[in-house]
Amino acid sequence: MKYILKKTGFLVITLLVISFITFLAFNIIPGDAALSKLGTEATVDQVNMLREELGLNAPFFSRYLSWLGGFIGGDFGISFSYMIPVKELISGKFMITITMTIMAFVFIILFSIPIAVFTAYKENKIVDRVITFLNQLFMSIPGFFLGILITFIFGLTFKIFMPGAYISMQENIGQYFYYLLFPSVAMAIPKTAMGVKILRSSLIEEKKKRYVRAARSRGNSNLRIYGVYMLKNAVIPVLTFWAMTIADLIANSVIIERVFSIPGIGTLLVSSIANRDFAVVQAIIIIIAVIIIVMNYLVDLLYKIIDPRIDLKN
Amino acid sequence: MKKLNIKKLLVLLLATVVVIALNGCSGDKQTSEVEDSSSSSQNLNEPQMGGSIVVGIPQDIEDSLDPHVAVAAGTSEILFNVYEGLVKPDKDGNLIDAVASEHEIKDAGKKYIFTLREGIKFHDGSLVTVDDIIYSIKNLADVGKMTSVFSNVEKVEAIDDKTVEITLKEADTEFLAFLTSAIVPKDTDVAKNPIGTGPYKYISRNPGENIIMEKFVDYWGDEAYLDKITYKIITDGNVIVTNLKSGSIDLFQRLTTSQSSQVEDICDIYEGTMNLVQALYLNNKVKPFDDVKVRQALCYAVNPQEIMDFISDGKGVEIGSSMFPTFGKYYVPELTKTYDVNIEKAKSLLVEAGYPDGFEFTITVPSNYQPHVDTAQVLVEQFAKIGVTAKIQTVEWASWLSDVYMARDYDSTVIGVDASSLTGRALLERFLSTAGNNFINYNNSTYDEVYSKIRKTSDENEQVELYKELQKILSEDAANVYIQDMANMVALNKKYGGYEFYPLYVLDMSKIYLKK
Repeated sequence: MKYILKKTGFLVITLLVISFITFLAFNIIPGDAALSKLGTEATVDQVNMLREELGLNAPFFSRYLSWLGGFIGGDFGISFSYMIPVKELISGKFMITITMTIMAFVFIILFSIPIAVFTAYKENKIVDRVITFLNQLFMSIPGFFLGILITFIFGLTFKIFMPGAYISMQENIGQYFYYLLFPSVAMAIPKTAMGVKILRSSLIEEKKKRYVRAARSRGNSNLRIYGVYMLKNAVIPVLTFWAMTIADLIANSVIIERVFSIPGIGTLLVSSIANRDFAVVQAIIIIIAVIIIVMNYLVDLLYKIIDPRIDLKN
Repeated sequence: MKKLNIKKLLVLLLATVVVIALNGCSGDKQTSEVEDSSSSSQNLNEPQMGGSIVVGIPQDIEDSLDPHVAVAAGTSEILFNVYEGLVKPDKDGNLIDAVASEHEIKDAGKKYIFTLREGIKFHDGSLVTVDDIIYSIKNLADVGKMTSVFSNVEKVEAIDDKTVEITLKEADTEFLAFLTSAIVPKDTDVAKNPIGTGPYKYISRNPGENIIMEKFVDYWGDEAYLDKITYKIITDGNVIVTNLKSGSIDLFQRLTTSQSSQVEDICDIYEGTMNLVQALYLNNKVKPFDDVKVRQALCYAVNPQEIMDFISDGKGVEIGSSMFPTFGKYYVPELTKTYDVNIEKAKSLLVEAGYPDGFEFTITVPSNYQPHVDTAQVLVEQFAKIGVTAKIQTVEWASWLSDVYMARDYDSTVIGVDASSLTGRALLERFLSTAGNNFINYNNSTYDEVYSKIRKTSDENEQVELYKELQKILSEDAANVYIQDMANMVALNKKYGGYEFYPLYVLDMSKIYLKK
């Protein structure tokens, strides 16, 4: 119980600091929402009038505290660019980014575990060397470049999907998932490769341990030895990597969104920063921060479940 | 348990790849077969009614759907299809009657009388009334970017239930051009519920994704061809090309020549101009630009054609002052000759001004407009020839707006200025020493004097001559280093036709059709 309280307290403090720094940044950089909205039609009078309207003339701390008060109460504020509540604006977009993240993650797990197990089993044989080489290759290609390659090869040349033809879930759910497959795979491949590398070396370490020989002498099949006993011990280092991967996929989705013309949360974040749409930026940053921190906590808990000997307090 | 058979796995993998490849290739053959059969019967490229189109746009509507409040050029371009004013522009820059079926100008531009078009409806089916017109005109004096123009309205009243009379405080023969401003339903929040009289009605939008419009069947004028328009937001330059190639977007404007050349097999490329005055705008209040000789020296050093050759395969139109050719009657073509490249003259002017060894200055450019960034780079090279060192500073758009445009804290900047209305003053009013948007700090009493004469005369020909004189002053006084009206490459998928260029930031979707 104390453990949960401590972790929650830490989460809250982190979020407060993040939100304050974001707010500070918005006030230091040139330009504001009123100026962005008025553009080249802006005159000093018009800008001041709009600033009054949007509440941008109030003092620094009063603006921060009123935002904070609203946020804690569940009111994320209004988007200056779109004049609709921030919650409404971002919920749909988070869905899209989370869908891609989940799809990518499923791909990662589905492929990295069997490939890692297989190559650890066939250590140093030719097939292992080939796969490890390919692995290294895929690890070094950035996800967005793979996205461009996939767009060119499967989109423009083989035409199995139409680049740019993103369609929303409400309009056509089948097409929605089909289209999101491609960016998800593009993002997943480099992470799969990295995961394979980590898991493979972890498994190879385990191979040397005595319990493996003992299990084999008791007549256990290789599949059981690798898939159950060794995996359980080897998976710990790669769990952290996978947790970071989820966070990374969400936080860096803007690049893959750009390549595939997907209106996700990354694109919204970037355009809101350009428009100085403060409430939207804050909400997105906080939510991403929460996801990252919570993911890390879950991983800690998972460690404990997998290996009860691990002492979380350390 | 059997060991995994690698050989079998590899064969399976190979087979899968081959199957996908064959599928992809045969898919290709299918589409080309269909195209061949349709092109043999398609010898007239005639328009057909119906169909839909996806228009790519580089930026979402982030100001407002209310036409009185919207300021961004991109927004107005889209709203042009939804709203109309008492008059509206045609592609040649003439004002034709729209919500009004006829108009009359009396008292040398002091009284404007409009007859409401019979039976004209709003998108919700209700008839337009004189009350809607009065409400709209009054609203334009209260909100938005036209308030200074419409504050000149002394009164607007209904003479009867079909006629509205607008009386101005001061006569203004150019006022009609401002009546392209939208007529909206009385007391309706059109920002949330956009209702106009145009050929298309607003259906929905998904922020950051798209905006959807549908044909308005009860439109008073010529029915539009296409049933549905989807505006899709694509921000990345390379992705625009990919999407045009894949067919997920059908139309994109303002492409660079390198982008348009990549889609020539799938799209017809229309070439026009952007309707912008691109120049190296000089902060006339900052040394050394407060000295006309220095400004002129820079003009003698710059070769606009060389810039166009570098950045747009030579396409674009050179300009010599704050006016571009599509403004027809106001344009003075000779002004491009004021400063033919003359390195020696430039250097001697610098010596006369007291800078025999040249000087250093900064060119601030907004990073989101690649053509301006590219132009700045060519300028740096051209200025180096006369011993002047220019440094480029790229800034974010919001920073450009706040530091350069509002605070006027800069040396020089490369930007394109557009005309918000079809009037002479649209591009020239901002150089009055008292103008609120005089971001170059231009201060020339002769200019102010000539400008005041325009407001005093009601003779249109005299006005045109005076506007021409203003352009001459800007050119000879080297207010800025004028460069070009940039080339506007428009890609429209070959399935469609009907694209027309307007002298303003307008995309008339009602003229675009699917070919038979």
